[in-house]
Amino acid sequence: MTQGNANPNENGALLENLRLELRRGCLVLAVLAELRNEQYGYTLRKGLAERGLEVDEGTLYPLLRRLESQGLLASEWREEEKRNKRFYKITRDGKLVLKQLLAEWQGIGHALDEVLKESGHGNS
Amino acid sequence: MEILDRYLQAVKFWLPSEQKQDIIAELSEDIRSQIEDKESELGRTLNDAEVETILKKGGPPMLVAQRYLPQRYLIGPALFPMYWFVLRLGWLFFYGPWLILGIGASLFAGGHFQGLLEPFFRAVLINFAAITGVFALIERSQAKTRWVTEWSPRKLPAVRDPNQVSRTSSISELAWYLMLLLWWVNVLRIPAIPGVSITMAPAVSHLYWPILALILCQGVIAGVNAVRRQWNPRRAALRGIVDGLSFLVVGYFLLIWAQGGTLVAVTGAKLSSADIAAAQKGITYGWSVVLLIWAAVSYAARTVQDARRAANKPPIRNWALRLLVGD
Repeated sequence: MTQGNANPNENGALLENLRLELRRGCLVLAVLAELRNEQYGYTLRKGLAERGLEVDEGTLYPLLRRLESQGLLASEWREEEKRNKRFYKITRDGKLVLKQLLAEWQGIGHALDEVLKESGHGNS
Repeated sequence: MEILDRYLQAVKFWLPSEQKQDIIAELSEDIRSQIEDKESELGRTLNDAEVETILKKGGPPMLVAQRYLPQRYLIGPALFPMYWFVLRLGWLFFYGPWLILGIGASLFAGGHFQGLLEPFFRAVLINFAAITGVFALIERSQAKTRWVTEWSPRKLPAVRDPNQVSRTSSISELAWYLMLLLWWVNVLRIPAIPGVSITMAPAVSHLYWPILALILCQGVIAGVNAVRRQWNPRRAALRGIVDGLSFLVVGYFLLIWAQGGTLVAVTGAKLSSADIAAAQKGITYGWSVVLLIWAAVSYAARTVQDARRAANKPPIRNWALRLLVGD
Protein backbone atom coordinates (compact mmCIF):
# COMPACT_ATOMS: atom_id res chain seq x y z
CA MET A 1 0.00 0.00 0.00
CA THR A 2 1.58 3.29 -1.02
CA GLN A 3 1.11 6.55 0.82
CA GLY A 4 -0.28 9.65 -0.92
CA ASN A 5 2.08 12.53 -1.66
CA ALA A 6 1.57 15.25 0.91
CA ASN A 7 3.82 17.89 -0.68
CA PRO A 8 1.43 20.73 -1.67
CA ASN A 9 3.78 22.04 -4.39
CA GLU A 10 4.05 18.63 -6.01
CA ASN A 11 0.32 18.13 -5.65
CA GLY A 12 -0.27 21.50 -7.32
CA ALA A 13 1.97 20.56 -10.26
CA LEU A 14 0.35 17.16 -10.47
CA LEU A 15 -3.13 18.69 -10.51
CA GLU A 16 -2.09 21.14 -13.20
CA ASN A 17 -0.73 18.31 -15.37
CA LEU A 18 -3.87 16.27 -14.94
CA ARG A 19 -6.03 19.31 -15.68
CA LEU A 20 -4.10 19.97 -18.89
CA GLU A 21 -4.43 16.33 -19.89
CA LEU A 22 -8.17 16.44 -19.29
CA ARG A 23 -8.58 19.64 -21.29
CA ARG A 24 -6.40 18.54 -24.22
CA GLY A 25 -8.97 16.09 -25.57
CA CYS A 26 -11.85 18.53 -25.09
CA LEU A 27 -9.99 21.27 -26.92
CA VAL A 28 -10.16 19.56 -30.32
CA LEU A 29 -13.90 19.19 -29.87
CA ALA A 30 -14.35 22.83 -28.84
CA VAL A 31 -12.22 24.14 -31.71
CA LEU A 32 -14.03 22.07 -34.33
CA ALA A 33 -17.41 23.15 -32.91
CA GLU A 34 -16.42 26.84 -32.80
CA LEU A 35 -15.13 26.76 -36.36
CA ARG A 36 -18.49 25.81 -37.78
CA ASN A 37 -18.44 29.60 -38.25
CA GLU A 38 -15.35 30.98 -39.95
CA GLN A 39 -13.00 32.81 -37.59
CA TYR A 40 -9.37 33.77 -37.31
CA GLY A 41 -7.11 32.56 -34.50
CA TYR A 42 -7.37 35.45 -32.09
CA THR A 43 -11.21 35.72 -32.16
CA LEU A 44 -11.40 31.96 -31.76
CA ARG A 45 -9.15 32.14 -28.73
CA LYS A 46 -11.18 34.99 -27.23
CA GLY A 47 -14.43 33.16 -27.90
CA LEU A 48 -13.17 30.05 -26.15
CA ALA A 49 -11.87 32.08 -23.20
CA GLU A 50 -15.23 33.85 -22.81
CA ARG A 51 -16.85 30.43 -22.54
CA GLY A 52 -14.37 29.42 -19.85
CA LEU A 53 -11.92 27.48 -22.00
CA GLU A 54 -8.75 29.53 -21.92
CA VAL A 55 -6.07 28.40 -24.31
CA ASP A 56 -2.72 30.05 -25.01
CA GLU A 57 -1.50 30.82 -28.52
CA GLY A 58 1.32 28.28 -28.24
CA THR A 59 -1.29 25.53 -27.89
CA LEU A 60 -4.02 26.78 -30.21
CA TYR A 61 -2.07 27.58 -33.38
CA PRO A 62 -0.13 24.30 -33.55
CA LEU A 63 -3.46 22.52 -32.98
CA LEU A 64 -5.13 24.48 -35.80
CA ARG A 65 -2.27 23.55 -38.11
CA ARG A 66 -2.49 19.90 -37.15
CA LEU A 67 -6.25 19.80 -37.74
CA GLU A 68 -5.74 21.52 -41.10
CA SER A 69 -3.05 19.04 -42.13
CA GLN A 70 -5.48 16.25 -41.19
CA GLY A 71 -8.08 17.77 -43.54
CA LEU A 72 -10.53 18.70 -40.77
CA LEU A 73 -10.04 22.46 -41.17
CA ALA A 74 -9.37 24.74 -44.13
CA SER A 75 -7.74 28.16 -43.90
CA GLU A 76 -7.06 31.21 -46.01
CA TRP A 77 -5.21 34.48 -45.51
CA ARG A 78 -7.44 37.57 -45.96
CA GLU A 79 -7.15 41.22 -45.16
CA GLU A 80 -9.42 42.56 -42.45
CA GLU A 81 -9.17 45.95 -40.76
CA LYS A 82 -6.02 46.61 -42.81
CA ARG A 83 -4.28 43.54 -41.39
CA ASN A 84 -3.63 40.12 -42.88
CA LYS A 85 -5.37 37.42 -40.89
CA ARG A 86 -5.68 33.69 -41.34
CA PHE A 87 -9.29 32.53 -41.27
CA TYR A 88 -10.20 28.96 -40.39
CA LYS A 89 -13.35 26.99 -41.13
CA ILE A 90 -14.35 23.41 -40.58
CA THR A 91 -14.36 21.17 -43.69
CA ARG A 92 -16.93 18.53 -44.65
CA ASP A 93 -14.66 15.81 -43.22
CA GLY A 94 -14.26 17.95 -40.11
CA LYS A 95 -18.04 18.12 -39.65
CA LEU A 96 -18.29 14.35 -39.95
CA VAL A 97 -15.53 13.83 -37.39
CA LEU A 98 -17.09 16.45 -35.09
CA LYS A 99 -20.41 14.56 -35.18
CA GLN A 100 -18.67 11.31 -34.24
CA LEU A 101 -16.60 12.98 -31.55
CA LEU A 102 -19.70 14.59 -30.03
CA ALA A 103 -21.36 11.18 -29.82
CA GLU A 104 -18.22 9.83 -28.15
CA TRP A 105 -18.11 12.81 -25.79
CA GLN A 106 -21.73 12.27 -24.75
CA GLY A 107 -21.03 8.57 -24.21
CA ILE A 108 -18.06 9.39 -22.00
CA GLY A 109 -20.16 11.97 -20.11
CA HIS A 110 -22.92 9.43 -19.41
CA ALA A 111 -20.43 6.77 -18.36
CA LEU A 112 -18.61 9.17 -16.07
CA ASP A 113 -21.91 10.32 -14.54
CA GLU A 114 -22.74 6.71 -13.73
CA VAL A 115 -19.30 6.06 -12.23
CA LEU A 116 -19.46 9.22 -10.12
CA LYS A 117 -23.01 8.46 -8.98
CA GLU A 118 -21.97 4.97 -7.85
CA SER A 119 -18.97 6.31 -5.97
CA GLY A 120 -21.04 9.03 -4.30
CA HIS A 121 -19.42 11.94 -6.16
CA GLY A 122 -22.38 12.68 -8.47
CA ASN A 123 -24.03 16.10 -8.72
CA SER A 124 -27.45 14.83 -7.71
CA MET B 1 7.99 47.53 -30.81
CA GLU B 2 11.46 46.11 -30.63
CA ILE B 3 10.78 43.66 -27.85
CA LEU B 4 8.04 41.93 -29.89
CA ASP B 5 10.29 41.71 -32.95
CA ARG B 6 13.04 40.22 -30.84
CA TYR B 7 10.62 37.62 -29.51
CA LEU B 8 9.35 36.73 -32.98
CA GLN B 9 12.89 36.48 -34.32
CA ALA B 10 13.81 34.09 -31.51
CA VAL B 11 10.77 31.89 -32.20
CA LYS B 12 11.48 31.97 -35.95
CA PHE B 13 14.99 30.63 -35.45
CA TRP B 14 13.66 27.26 -34.21
CA LEU B 15 10.91 26.82 -36.80
CA PRO B 16 11.19 24.63 -39.93
CA SER B 17 12.25 26.87 -42.84
CA GLU B 18 9.24 26.12 -45.07
CA GLN B 19 6.78 27.25 -42.36
CA LYS B 20 8.72 30.12 -40.78
CA GLN B 21 6.96 33.02 -42.51
CA ASP B 22 3.49 31.59 -42.19
CA ILE B 23 3.74 30.74 -38.51
CA ILE B 24 5.41 34.02 -37.59
CA ALA B 25 2.78 36.05 -39.49
CA GLU B 26 -0.01 34.30 -37.59
CA LEU B 27 1.70 34.48 -34.21
CA SER B 28 2.57 38.11 -34.73
CA GLU B 29 -1.05 38.89 -35.64
CA ASP B 30 -2.28 37.20 -32.46
CA ILE B 31 0.16 39.01 -30.18
CA ARG B 32 -0.54 42.37 -31.85
CA SER B 33 -4.28 41.78 -31.35
CA GLN B 34 -3.64 41.04 -27.66
CA ILE B 35 -1.63 44.24 -27.33
CA GLU B 36 -4.34 46.29 -29.09
CA ASP B 37 -7.03 44.85 -26.85
CA LYS B 38 -5.03 45.71 -23.77
CA GLU B 39 -4.31 49.20 -25.08
CA SER B 40 -7.97 49.92 -25.76
CA GLU B 41 -8.81 48.61 -22.27
CA LEU B 42 -6.22 50.94 -20.65
CA GLY B 43 -6.71 53.82 -23.08
CA ARG B 44 -2.97 54.22 -23.71
CA THR B 45 0.02 52.60 -25.40
CA LEU B 46 1.60 49.68 -23.54
CA ASN B 47 5.10 50.07 -22.22
CA ASP B 48 7.85 47.45 -22.69
CA ALA B 49 7.20 45.83 -19.31
CA GLU B 50 3.51 45.30 -20.16
CA VAL B 51 4.38 43.86 -23.58
CA GLU B 52 6.89 41.61 -21.85
CA THR B 53 4.13 40.29 -19.57
CA ILE B 54 2.05 39.34 -22.61
CA LEU B 55 5.03 37.65 -24.26
CA LYS B 56 6.00 35.79 -21.10
CA LYS B 57 2.48 34.34 -20.94
CA GLY B 58 3.10 32.73 -24.34
CA GLY B 59 6.20 30.91 -23.10
CA PRO B 60 9.92 30.82 -24.02
CA PRO B 61 10.59 31.10 -27.79
CA MET B 62 12.11 27.63 -28.17
CA LEU B 63 9.18 26.00 -26.37
CA VAL B 64 6.66 27.93 -28.49
CA ALA B 65 8.45 26.86 -31.69
CA GLN B 66 8.73 23.28 -30.51
CA ARG B 67 4.94 23.00 -30.28
CA TYR B 68 4.72 23.48 -34.04
CA LEU B 69 7.07 20.59 -34.69
CA PRO B 70 6.14 16.91 -34.74
CA GLN B 71 7.04 15.04 -31.58
CA ARG B 72 10.58 13.73 -31.99
CA TYR B 73 12.74 11.38 -30.01
CA LEU B 74 15.81 9.34 -30.56
CA ILE B 75 14.41 6.25 -28.82
CA GLY B 76 10.66 6.17 -28.32
CA PRO B 77 8.63 4.83 -25.39
CA ALA B 78 8.07 1.43 -27.05
CA LEU B 79 11.79 0.67 -27.27
CA PHE B 80 13.09 2.62 -24.30
CA PRO B 81 12.62 -0.11 -21.63
CA MET B 82 14.64 -2.56 -23.75
CA TYR B 83 17.31 0.07 -24.41
CA TRP B 84 17.60 0.77 -20.68
CA PHE B 85 17.74 -2.95 -19.94
CA VAL B 86 20.63 -3.49 -22.38
CA LEU B 87 22.54 -0.54 -20.90
CA ARG B 88 22.07 -1.96 -17.42
CA LEU B 89 23.25 -5.39 -18.58
CA GLY B 90 26.48 -3.77 -19.78
CA TRP B 91 27.02 -2.33 -16.32
CA LEU B 92 26.12 -5.50 -14.51
CA PHE B 93 28.36 -7.87 -16.44
CA PHE B 94 31.06 -5.67 -17.85
CA TYR B 95 31.57 -2.16 -16.50
CA GLY B 96 30.54 -2.94 -12.94
CA PRO B 97 33.15 -5.72 -12.54
CA TRP B 98 35.70 -3.54 -14.35
CA LEU B 99 35.09 -0.68 -11.95
CA ILE B 100 35.27 -3.00 -8.93
CA LEU B 101 38.54 -4.33 -10.33
CA GLY B 102 39.89 -0.79 -10.69
CA ILE B 103 38.89 0.19 -7.16
CA GLY B 104 40.26 -3.10 -5.83
CA ALA B 105 43.51 -2.56 -7.70
CA SER B 106 43.95 0.94 -6.36
CA LEU B 107 43.16 -0.15 -2.81
CA PHE B 108 45.22 -3.33 -2.59
CA ALA B 109 47.72 -3.49 -5.43
CA GLY B 110 48.36 0.24 -5.76
CA GLY B 111 48.70 2.44 -8.80
CA HIS B 112 46.58 0.52 -11.34
CA PHE B 113 43.51 2.71 -11.13
CA GLN B 114 44.94 5.70 -12.99
CA GLY B 115 45.81 3.61 -16.01
CA LEU B 116 42.45 1.91 -15.91
CA LEU B 117 40.40 5.09 -15.80
CA GLU B 118 40.99 6.34 -19.33
CA PRO B 119 40.22 3.07 -21.18
CA PHE B 120 37.26 2.61 -18.83
CA PHE B 121 35.65 5.91 -19.73
CA ARG B 122 36.47 5.44 -23.41
CA ALA B 123 34.85 1.99 -23.37
CA VAL B 124 31.79 3.30 -21.47
CA LEU B 125 31.34 6.12 -24.01
CA ILE B 126 31.79 3.86 -27.03
CA ASN B 127 29.41 1.30 -25.56
CA PHE B 128 26.80 3.96 -24.76
CA ALA B 129 27.09 5.54 -28.22
CA ALA B 130 26.95 2.18 -30.01
CA ILE B 131 23.92 0.90 -28.09
CA THR B 132 22.12 4.25 -28.47
CA GLY B 133 22.95 4.27 -32.19
CA VAL B 134 21.65 0.74 -32.74
CA PHE B 135 18.40 1.47 -30.87
CA ALA B 136 17.96 4.77 -32.74
CA LEU B 137 18.27 2.81 -36.00
CA ILE B 138 15.75 0.21 -34.83
CA GLU B 139 13.41 3.06 -33.82
CA ARG B 140 13.47 4.29 -37.40
CA SER B 141 13.35 0.90 -39.09
CA GLN B 142 10.52 -1.42 -40.06
CA ALA B 143 11.71 -3.92 -37.46
CA LYS B 144 10.23 -1.82 -34.66
CA THR B 145 6.85 -1.52 -36.44
CA ARG B 146 6.78 -5.28 -36.87
CA TRP B 147 7.79 -5.88 -33.28
CA VAL B 148 5.06 -3.53 -31.99
CA THR B 149 2.24 -4.79 -34.22
CA GLU B 150 3.01 -8.47 -34.77
CA TRP B 151 3.29 -9.71 -31.23
CA SER B 152 1.19 -12.44 -29.71
CA PRO B 153 0.54 -13.36 -26.07
CA ARG B 154 1.21 -16.97 -27.09
CA LYS B 155 4.80 -16.12 -27.96
CA LEU B 156 5.54 -14.60 -24.54
CA PRO B 157 7.74 -16.65 -22.15
CA ALA B 158 5.99 -19.17 -19.91
CA VAL B 159 5.25 -18.10 -16.34
CA ARG B 160 8.34 -18.83 -14.28
CA ASP B 161 8.31 -21.25 -11.41
CA PRO B 162 11.03 -20.02 -9.03
CA ASN B 163 11.60 -23.56 -7.83
CA GLN B 164 12.11 -24.99 -11.28
CA VAL B 165 15.59 -24.96 -12.78
CA SER B 166 15.88 -23.65 -16.31
CA ARG B 167 16.98 -26.55 -18.54
CA THR B 168 18.88 -24.22 -20.90
CA SER B 169 20.74 -22.80 -17.95
CA SER B 170 21.60 -26.27 -16.58
CA ILE B 171 22.78 -27.57 -19.96
CA SER B 172 24.97 -24.52 -20.61
CA GLU B 173 26.35 -24.82 -17.08
CA LEU B 174 27.08 -28.51 -17.68
CA ALA B 175 28.87 -27.66 -20.95
CA TRP B 176 30.88 -24.94 -19.19
CA TYR B 177 32.01 -27.22 -16.35
CA LEU B 178 32.85 -29.97 -18.84
CA MET B 179 35.11 -27.57 -20.73
CA LEU B 180 36.59 -26.30 -17.49
CA LEU B 181 37.25 -29.88 -16.38
CA LEU B 182 38.97 -30.78 -19.67
CA TRP B 183 41.09 -27.65 -19.40
CA TRP B 184 41.90 -28.27 -15.75
CA VAL B 185 43.07 -31.86 -16.37
CA ASN B 186 45.09 -30.59 -19.35
CA VAL B 187 43.12 -32.38 -22.07
CA LEU B 188 41.91 -29.14 -23.64
CA ARG B 189 44.90 -26.91 -24.29
CA ILE B 190 44.99 -23.25 -25.10
CA PRO B 191 47.15 -22.66 -28.22
CA ALA B 192 50.70 -22.25 -26.98
CA ILE B 193 53.09 -19.42 -27.79
CA PRO B 194 56.29 -20.97 -29.24
CA GLY B 195 59.07 -20.98 -26.69
CA VAL B 196 56.83 -19.86 -23.84
CA SER B 197 55.27 -22.06 -21.21
CA ILE B 198 52.37 -20.90 -19.04
CA THR B 199 51.58 -23.05 -16.03
CA MET B 200 49.74 -22.63 -12.76
CA ALA B 201 51.55 -20.69 -10.07
CA PRO B 202 52.38 -22.79 -6.94
CA ALA B 203 49.69 -20.89 -4.99
CA VAL B 204 47.11 -22.28 -7.43
CA SER B 205 48.55 -25.72 -8.14
CA HIS B 206 48.47 -26.83 -4.51
CA LEU B 207 44.67 -26.50 -4.75
CA TYR B 208 44.58 -28.78 -7.81
CA TRP B 209 42.57 -31.62 -6.25
CA PRO B 210 40.07 -29.51 -4.27
CA ILE B 211 39.36 -27.46 -7.42
CA LEU B 212 38.98 -30.61 -9.49
CA ALA B 213 36.50 -31.95 -6.91
CA LEU B 214 34.53 -28.69 -6.98
CA ILE B 215 34.37 -28.66 -10.79
CA LEU B 216 33.14 -32.27 -10.74
CA CYS B 217 30.51 -31.48 -8.09
CA GLN B 218 29.28 -28.41 -9.98
CA GLY B 219 29.09 -30.47 -13.20
CA VAL B 220 27.20 -33.32 -11.53
CA ILE B 221 24.70 -30.92 -9.91
CA ALA B 222 24.16 -29.15 -13.26
CA GLY B 223 23.61 -32.56 -14.90
CA VAL B 224 21.09 -33.63 -12.26
CA ASN B 225 19.33 -30.24 -12.53
CA ALA B 226 18.98 -30.69 -16.29
CA VAL B 227 17.04 -33.92 -15.71
CA ARG B 228 15.26 -33.30 -12.38
CA ARG B 229 14.21 -29.72 -12.75
CA GLN B 230 12.38 -29.16 -9.47
CA TRP B 231 14.54 -27.88 -6.63
CA ASN B 232 14.37 -29.72 -3.34
CA PRO B 233 15.90 -28.44 -0.09
CA ARG B 234 18.56 -31.17 0.01
CA ARG B 235 19.87 -30.48 -3.52
CA ALA B 236 19.73 -26.72 -2.89
CA ALA B 237 21.72 -27.17 0.32
CA LEU B 238 24.29 -29.33 -1.51
CA ARG B 239 24.74 -26.74 -4.28
CA GLY B 240 24.85 -24.01 -1.66
CA ILE B 241 27.79 -25.76 0.05
CA VAL B 242 29.62 -26.34 -3.26
CA ASP B 243 28.97 -22.70 -4.28
CA GLY B 244 30.17 -21.46 -0.91
CA LEU B 245 33.42 -23.45 -1.28
CA SER B 246 33.82 -22.25 -4.89
CA PHE B 247 33.40 -18.71 -3.63
CA LEU B 248 36.18 -19.26 -1.09
CA VAL B 249 38.54 -20.59 -3.78
CA VAL B 250 37.81 -17.71 -6.15
CA GLY B 251 38.13 -15.26 -3.25
CA TYR B 252 41.52 -16.80 -2.42
CA PHE B 253 42.68 -16.23 -6.03
CA LEU B 254 41.55 -12.62 -5.83
CA LEU B 255 43.43 -12.17 -2.59
CA ILE B 256 46.62 -13.47 -4.25
CA TRP B 257 46.16 -10.95 -7.03
CA ALA B 258 45.30 -8.11 -4.65
CA GLN B 259 48.49 -8.76 -2.68
CA GLY B 260 50.53 -8.45 -5.86
CA GLY B 261 50.97 -12.19 -6.43
CA THR B 262 50.42 -14.06 -9.67
CA LEU B 263 48.12 -16.92 -10.64
CA VAL B 264 50.33 -18.20 -13.42
CA ALA B 265 53.99 -19.00 -13.86
CA VAL B 266 55.51 -17.98 -17.21
CA THR B 267 58.76 -19.53 -18.38
CA GLY B 268 60.66 -19.10 -21.62
CA ALA B 269 64.31 -19.48 -22.58
CA LYS B 270 64.37 -16.22 -24.55
CA LEU B 271 62.42 -14.18 -22.01
CA SER B 272 64.10 -11.82 -19.58
CA SER B 273 62.97 -11.82 -15.96
CA ALA B 274 61.29 -8.44 -16.59
CA ASP B 275 59.34 -9.92 -19.54
CA ILE B 276 58.28 -12.86 -17.40
CA ALA B 277 57.15 -10.64 -14.56
CA ALA B 278 55.21 -8.41 -16.97
CA ALA B 279 53.57 -11.41 -18.66
CA GLN B 280 52.60 -12.99 -15.31
CA LYS B 281 51.19 -9.71 -14.07
CA GLY B 282 49.40 -9.04 -17.35
CA ILE B 283 47.70 -12.46 -17.44
CA THR B 284 46.72 -12.24 -13.77
CA TYR B 285 45.55 -8.67 -14.03
CA GLY B 286 43.79 -9.10 -17.37
CA TRP B 287 40.30 -10.32 -17.99
CA SER B 288 40.88 -13.41 -15.88
CA VAL B 289 40.56 -11.17 -12.81
CA VAL B 290 37.35 -9.60 -14.12
CA LEU B 291 36.04 -13.11 -14.69
CA LEU B 292 37.12 -14.11 -11.18
CA ILE B 293 35.30 -11.13 -9.66
CA TRP B 294 32.24 -11.99 -11.68
CA ALA B 295 32.50 -15.64 -10.56
CA ALA B 296 32.92 -14.59 -6.92
CA VAL B 297 29.83 -12.37 -7.05
CA SER B 298 27.90 -15.06 -8.90
CA TYR B 299 28.85 -17.81 -6.42
CA ALA B 300 28.06 -15.56 -3.47
CA ALA B 301 24.65 -14.70 -4.93
CA ARG B 302 23.93 -18.35 -5.73
CA THR B 303 24.84 -19.34 -2.19
CA VAL B 304 22.22 -16.89 -0.89
CA GLN B 305 19.58 -18.21 -3.31
CA ASP B 306 20.44 -21.83 -2.50
CA ALA B 307 20.36 -21.16 1.24
CA ARG B 308 16.86 -19.72 0.88
CA ARG B 309 15.71 -22.76 -1.12
CA ALA B 310 17.31 -25.09 1.40
CA ALA B 311 15.33 -23.32 4.15
CA ASN B 312 12.12 -23.74 2.12
CA LYS B 313 11.95 -20.01 1.41
CA PRO B 314 11.37 -18.63 -2.09
CA PRO B 315 14.50 -17.31 -3.84
CA ILE B 316 14.93 -13.53 -4.20
CA ARG B 317 13.12 -12.37 -7.36
CA ASN B 318 15.28 -9.79 -8.98
CA TRP B 319 16.08 -9.83 -12.70
CA ALA B 320 19.72 -8.76 -12.23
CA LEU B 321 20.32 -11.34 -9.53
CA ARG B 322 18.65 -14.05 -11.59
CA LEU B 323 20.80 -13.21 -14.62
CA LEU B 324 23.91 -13.16 -12.48
CA VAL B 325 23.29 -16.61 -11.05
CA GLY B 326 21.92 -18.02 -14.33
CA ASP B 327 18.68 -18.96 -12.61
